[in-house]
Amino acid sequence: MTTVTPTPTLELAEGQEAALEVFEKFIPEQTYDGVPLVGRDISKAFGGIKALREVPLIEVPPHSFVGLIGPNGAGKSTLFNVLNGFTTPDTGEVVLFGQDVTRRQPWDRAKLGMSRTFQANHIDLNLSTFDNLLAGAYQLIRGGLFAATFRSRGNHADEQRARLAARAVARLLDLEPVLGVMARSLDFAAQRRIEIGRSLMSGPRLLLLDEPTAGVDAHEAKELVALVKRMQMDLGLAVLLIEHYVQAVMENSNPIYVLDQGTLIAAGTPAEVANDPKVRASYLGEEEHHA
Amino acid sequence: MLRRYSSVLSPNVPTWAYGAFLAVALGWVLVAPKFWVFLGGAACLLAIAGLGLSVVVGWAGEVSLASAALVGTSVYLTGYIVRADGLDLPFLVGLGAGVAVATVLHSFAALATAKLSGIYVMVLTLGLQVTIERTVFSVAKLTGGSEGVYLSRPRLFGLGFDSDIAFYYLCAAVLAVVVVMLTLFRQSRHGRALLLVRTNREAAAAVGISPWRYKILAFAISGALLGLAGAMTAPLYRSPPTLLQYLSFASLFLLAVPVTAGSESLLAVILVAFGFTMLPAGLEELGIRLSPNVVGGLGLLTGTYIGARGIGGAVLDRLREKRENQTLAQLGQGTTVVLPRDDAHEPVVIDTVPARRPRTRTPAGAGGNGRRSDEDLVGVGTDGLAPALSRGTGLTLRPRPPSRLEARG
Amino acid sequence: MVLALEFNGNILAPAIVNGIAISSLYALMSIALVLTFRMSRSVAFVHGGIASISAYLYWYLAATSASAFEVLGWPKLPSLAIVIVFGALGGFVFGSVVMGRMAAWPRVTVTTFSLGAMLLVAGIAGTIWKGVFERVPSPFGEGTMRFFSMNVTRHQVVSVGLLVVLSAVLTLVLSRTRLGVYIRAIADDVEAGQIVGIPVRSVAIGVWSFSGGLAALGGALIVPMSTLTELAVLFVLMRSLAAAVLGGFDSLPLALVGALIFGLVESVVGGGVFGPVSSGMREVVLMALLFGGILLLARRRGGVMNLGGV
Repeated sequence: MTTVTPTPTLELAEGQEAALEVFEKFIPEQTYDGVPLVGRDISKAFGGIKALREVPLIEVPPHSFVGLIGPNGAGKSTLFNVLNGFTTPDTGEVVLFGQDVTRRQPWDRAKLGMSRTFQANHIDLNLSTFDNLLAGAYQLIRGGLFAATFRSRGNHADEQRARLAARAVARLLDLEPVLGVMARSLDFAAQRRIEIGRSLMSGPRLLLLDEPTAGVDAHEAKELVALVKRMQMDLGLAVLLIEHYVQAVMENSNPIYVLDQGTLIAAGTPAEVANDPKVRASYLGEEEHHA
Repeated sequence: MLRRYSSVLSPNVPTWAYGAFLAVALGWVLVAPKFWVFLGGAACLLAIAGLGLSVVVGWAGEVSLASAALVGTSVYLTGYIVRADGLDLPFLVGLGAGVAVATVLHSFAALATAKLSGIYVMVLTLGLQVTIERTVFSVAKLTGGSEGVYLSRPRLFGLGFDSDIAFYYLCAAVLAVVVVMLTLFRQSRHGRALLLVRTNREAAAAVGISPWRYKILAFAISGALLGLAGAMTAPLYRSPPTLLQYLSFASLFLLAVPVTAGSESLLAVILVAFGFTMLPAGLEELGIRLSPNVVGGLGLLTGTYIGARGIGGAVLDRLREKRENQTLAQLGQGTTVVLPRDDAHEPVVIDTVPARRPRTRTPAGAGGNGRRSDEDLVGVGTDGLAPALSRGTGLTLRPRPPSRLEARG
Repeated sequence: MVLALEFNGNILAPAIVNGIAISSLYALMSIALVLTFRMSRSVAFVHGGIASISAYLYWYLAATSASAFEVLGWPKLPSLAIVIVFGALGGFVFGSVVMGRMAAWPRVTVTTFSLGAMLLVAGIAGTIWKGVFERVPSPFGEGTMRFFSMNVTRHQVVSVGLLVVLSAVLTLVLSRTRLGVYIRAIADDVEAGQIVGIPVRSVAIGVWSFSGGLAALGGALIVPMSTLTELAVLFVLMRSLAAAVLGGFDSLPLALVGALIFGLVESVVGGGVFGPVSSGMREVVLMALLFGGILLLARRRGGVMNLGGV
């Protein structure tokens, strides 16, 4: 039988406790009824290619850390795009915090509390870390065009709070020393953390992470996932994570969904998934063990 | 109260520099020949148009080739409304009409940006330019046809602006207001949203920004500023300028202003606008004739060849590199870095919160309340200490005390 | 502006003929635009500049007399050849720059660079030959022929003929020769082409030179059909661009169809087949066509957001 080795989690250093408090005050309360995300019977075909075939159920329970794995071409990114709103599914529905959002735009879903990072770093290389992070706070700052341009009282207060929160997030993600440095001067892993930080700044209650460790070396990957896990637990977020770094997913997530060629081949706790023969066959190409 | 607008001034520029710049900008007209004062007014208006276009080109990342047609429409419309043989209405009415029409027309072009990329926007705006040329510009009543029509300088708030010097001050004042408002916009959440849309539409959508809405906003703001420039050009020239100034090539010339200057600095756009206006005139005194097409073409070529951010961007990059190298060098030595003065406007509250005592560990399983405890999630026992993974950041690994959610209950 | 739809049948046929001839010129330019777009994914506005300066150059070389200028009065066909070579050279230079330093730059930047080149070249042409406003005789001789009981000029016939021949040759090259395979591969995916060993740079620069020559040919051929101003050529560029857009910048046949539509609409509507129509109205009609074409294109691309882009 395969055993699952636990990953040690990170404790907060002194200053980071304070930062966490500041940030928590800034984002909306993480309380809600019902399930953050449910996707049912989702199919999507592009031309003749069936990317997703009737994926029966993808569910992200409250305050949980859910993993989505599968070999290349399994349709994970397509599923993400459907859940996030960049693609409309052919069949099926997506329910976000109890509301049917199947045909809603991504920015409308963001208002309901969903945010997402991308495989490539989509940050502005010509802006500093701080400015990149601050950009994420868009929907948590009040003020229409005139109110914001002329700094109405509400807008100004929110801007101050957002700036503090941006620095708090930077401290939590170990980006504080490079707050004023242009993103272009930072290494890939740091840019990745900026991307995650920016997503956090939008105050999500559900965070979709698309292969956050892609392009990062093994040591940093482990840290990154542990970091995300810690943030998830501290802030009470629900997280859905696509990863190729299977070990990290196994050690941190529950439940785990496994896709292969557009179909859901397994779903369950890490132990269940790890011992599922279909998963092993598709992923590891192993022959079945007899326990 | 005014303190919240203090971010308009850059913290990297000393206040005396602003004062000196202001003195020069307002004082030079008192000693310059009349022709150059007139050019100064024209340069201010070109700067306003250039700033408008830089909102679309620099901040939104789209190329609009309809700018000259919009300016021209506003020139002729405002002129017609204000002229004695036209509608004979007050100047501000004409100004409002010019701004409104240009805003609407440019926003119309933005409708195309919903699903299509930059090249289609270029083609569409070029089509808009040509269409306006063939429709609006052929209405002789507006353009004055072949007769000379005369427009007097406006009287606003009881002041007359008949002299070139007075009109220059008016143009400069309007330019200053435009610069302040654009800066405020850029620093607000909407300015940041616009830039994020430019960086990547999907990333913007993921944090709640509607990309299409902001593209339309950029075109609207740009249209308004182009209309403003046009509306004020009408009284500058007193009689409507010839059509040639507002045909397709003129759109390219206008485009050259923000492209050459880059999207980083509004001051660069103003300087380029002044350069484009004054330099050919100066060369002409020396007997060298430069057609605006050549000037604009050279500007576009240099601006794009240098890099995607124009000359202003290249200059600012050099300046920033110096500051950053310091920061990064210090990081390597392990000292804590003081944040740059950009943030000096706000108090640094985080650091004064007293340090918390480390939490006491509670036994696993105590985090009940109907929710899963750490143990279920991670399957860890509370025994061993994992090997420390500190990398100089103060983070060490230990079995985790209950999260704050659990503590809240 | 009243859209009176009276139908003048007797001018329909000549209008159609004229439309076909005009569209052959638009088609030449739009082929140049589509080819270079496939190479560098940017719109080669520079061809407008090349066409402009070629038009002036051809006039300068071949016109026998002019009101305010010294012209050379050389024989027409060799002048045409010189102009084409000149255009190819221009395409070569521009292509080298674009595929060199600017190869990895954002499309819009490269296109803006191209705009700058067009502006500069047109400006130079306008400066050297300032105030020129002339007609030039056709390189193919004057004279008309009877064609289905209509009069067509030799110039029109040869223009259309050239286009047909060029299109045929191009289709053959693209589908049957190795060079054609290289071109299509680069158009699909530049990096894959490099990995497989295609000499991407040489092929691309070659295509740029060929397109430059095409643009020069188009510019020179416009001259006998209308009056010569730098703006007239930009006008043709607009139409060719619109035709290329209708083809989605991908498909040569669609671009040719687009050119045909534009040329016909312009000629038929503008020529008064539907009654007197102001040039403004004609422009609005063409603009509506263009806008409609772009919208259709957007619908075809589909999706909630345009994840791919052009």
